[in-house]
Amino acid sequence: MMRLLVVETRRLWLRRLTWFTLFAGLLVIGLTGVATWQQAQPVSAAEQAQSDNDYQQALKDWQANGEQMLKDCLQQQAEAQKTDPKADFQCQAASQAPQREWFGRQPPSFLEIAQNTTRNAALTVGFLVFLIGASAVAAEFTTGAIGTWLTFEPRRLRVLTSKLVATGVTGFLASAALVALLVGTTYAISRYAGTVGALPSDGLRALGLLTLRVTAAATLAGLVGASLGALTRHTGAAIAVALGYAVAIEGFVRAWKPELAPFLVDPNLNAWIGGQSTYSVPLCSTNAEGFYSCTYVEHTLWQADGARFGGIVVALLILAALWAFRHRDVT
Amino acid sequence: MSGAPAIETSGLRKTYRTRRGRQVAVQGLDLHVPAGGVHGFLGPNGSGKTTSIRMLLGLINADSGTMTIFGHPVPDDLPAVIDRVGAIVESPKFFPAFSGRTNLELLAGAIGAPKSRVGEVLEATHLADRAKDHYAAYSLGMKQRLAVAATLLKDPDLLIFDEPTNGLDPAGIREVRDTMRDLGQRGKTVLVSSHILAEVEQVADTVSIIGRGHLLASGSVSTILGSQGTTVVRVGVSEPDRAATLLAYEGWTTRREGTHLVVEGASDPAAVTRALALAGLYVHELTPVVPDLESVFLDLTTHEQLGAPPTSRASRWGGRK
Repeated sequence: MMRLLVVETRRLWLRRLTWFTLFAGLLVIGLTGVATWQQAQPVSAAEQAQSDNDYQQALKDWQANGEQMLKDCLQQQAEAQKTDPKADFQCQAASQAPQREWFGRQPPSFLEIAQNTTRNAALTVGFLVFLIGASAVAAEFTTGAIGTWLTFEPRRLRVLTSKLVATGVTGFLASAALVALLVGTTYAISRYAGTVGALPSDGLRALGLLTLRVTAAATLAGLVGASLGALTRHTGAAIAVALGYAVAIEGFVRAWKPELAPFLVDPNLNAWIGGQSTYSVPLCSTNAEGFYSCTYVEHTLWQADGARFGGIVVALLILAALWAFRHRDVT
Repeated sequence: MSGAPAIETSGLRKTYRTRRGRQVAVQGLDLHVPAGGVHGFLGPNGSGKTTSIRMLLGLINADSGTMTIFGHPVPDDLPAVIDRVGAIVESPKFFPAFSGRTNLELLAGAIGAPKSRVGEVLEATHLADRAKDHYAAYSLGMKQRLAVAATLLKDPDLLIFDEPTNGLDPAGIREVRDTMRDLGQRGKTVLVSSHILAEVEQVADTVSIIGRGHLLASGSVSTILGSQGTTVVRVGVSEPDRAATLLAYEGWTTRREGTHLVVEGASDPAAVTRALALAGLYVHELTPVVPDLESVFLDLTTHEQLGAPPTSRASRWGGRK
């Protein structure tokens, strides 16, 4: 088994598509770096002067009209409370004096940018690793090389298991490298711009855990790709199944039955990466006067929910792939 | 397992699901390939040769029947015997973007063969100077040679070549033929499936002929050819028309072929000579007509296509050896 694993891992790294995919990942990191560069720039004197001016203008406006605006707001609220006693227009908050920090751009710190870019890169990195896994397995069927392979090692479960493990190892290394490069690039840019900001240990720890979660999710995406590659036996078909599911099933089910969100990939992925994700379920009824109205009840999916869902889905796909590879003819 | 036949199948059956229902590819195939020498596995296109080989190698599942390789039941016990089997099924199939050497190194790695073995088999198949080229850039002949090289990585006792000369030029065909003959002479068992009979006839010691997925004839080449060859003689005789009438009266089937007569059913040619001489007709030429494998094959498979029962012909050739 170890021998097969070594050979499969070597084959994966010899494939042009693996390197092409990593190169595509580098391009994405480069584009992200451009956006990071723009965000991390310190505030220029012209920007500072403009925001000072905007603040003074708003303050003057509030001093002249603030009291009247509060009165108008309270009056409208009182009108609304005649039909709905619970109506609350948040008039005090809306009419408070403008604060200086509301105006002008504050360059985000390294930790803020890194958290955002890492979170946003999860889908891209996951897709690239999915592609590596799907094409590595499916190409063997497309070229017919799997038949030659099985005349050297006929134990099919071993053969596919070695391919899946090799995909997992390669996917982990590739995604870890890409995420590490992304975070490193972000730090280098922030440092060059002089806007690194504070680096508290809990912030660094949170960023470290986030990169691990993104890497783990991308590794699972690679295993999903490899499993779909074995099931569909064609890279294009594996991609079509994944994209078709994402667009048709996820989108349709979310719109049609929002209460099924705990069984969908997107909210669970967000929960896993971001710590939690919320979804709203409408509760609709018709009152005595015949008015139909809905209230939205918010539910939360937690990180553990996302982890459990991801684990179960990947395990089921792997089992299906192993079963199919064990029993289907190789022609 | 010493002394066991290289391959033995019994009642092997395989059907495929198609749009028009189930299609039978192999039906009750009983195959016996003795260990050592070259065994031709003959049949027209679509007769079930490749399907049978794929079942033997565990690539597709049989519906029913049993198979053994060197006495090991397959596919269950295939891992125990696979190191003794090298196979090329239909066309060679490797990773097109990898070089010939890389493809072989991956296969060698899978079976734990030393890297030096890759160089040896590349040399043996005259591919060493093109070993770094991508497989996709190889000619069909080179691909075939790489496939042979792959089978030799294991130094197998049984080599299965499925249509090994497809697409090869005459030099390539000769090379493959020489390789098979050489392997057979070294005590290896070579099962070569083909519908090109002349090439098989030149190298095979024994053959099995199948049609529509079942065995039509099996045995040594000389037995199969001889059993038909002794029954037909070509006779040069004075007054061939009178001779034909006489021989027909004596129970032989004859036909004119130019100035000669072709006499069928002449299991004892001397009896023909004697009958003609007694009637005062003198034979100046008597040649046994020895059929080639192609005529035997065509005779068997043509009847098969017409729907005649195959069992009668299988027994006609003496069945399995």
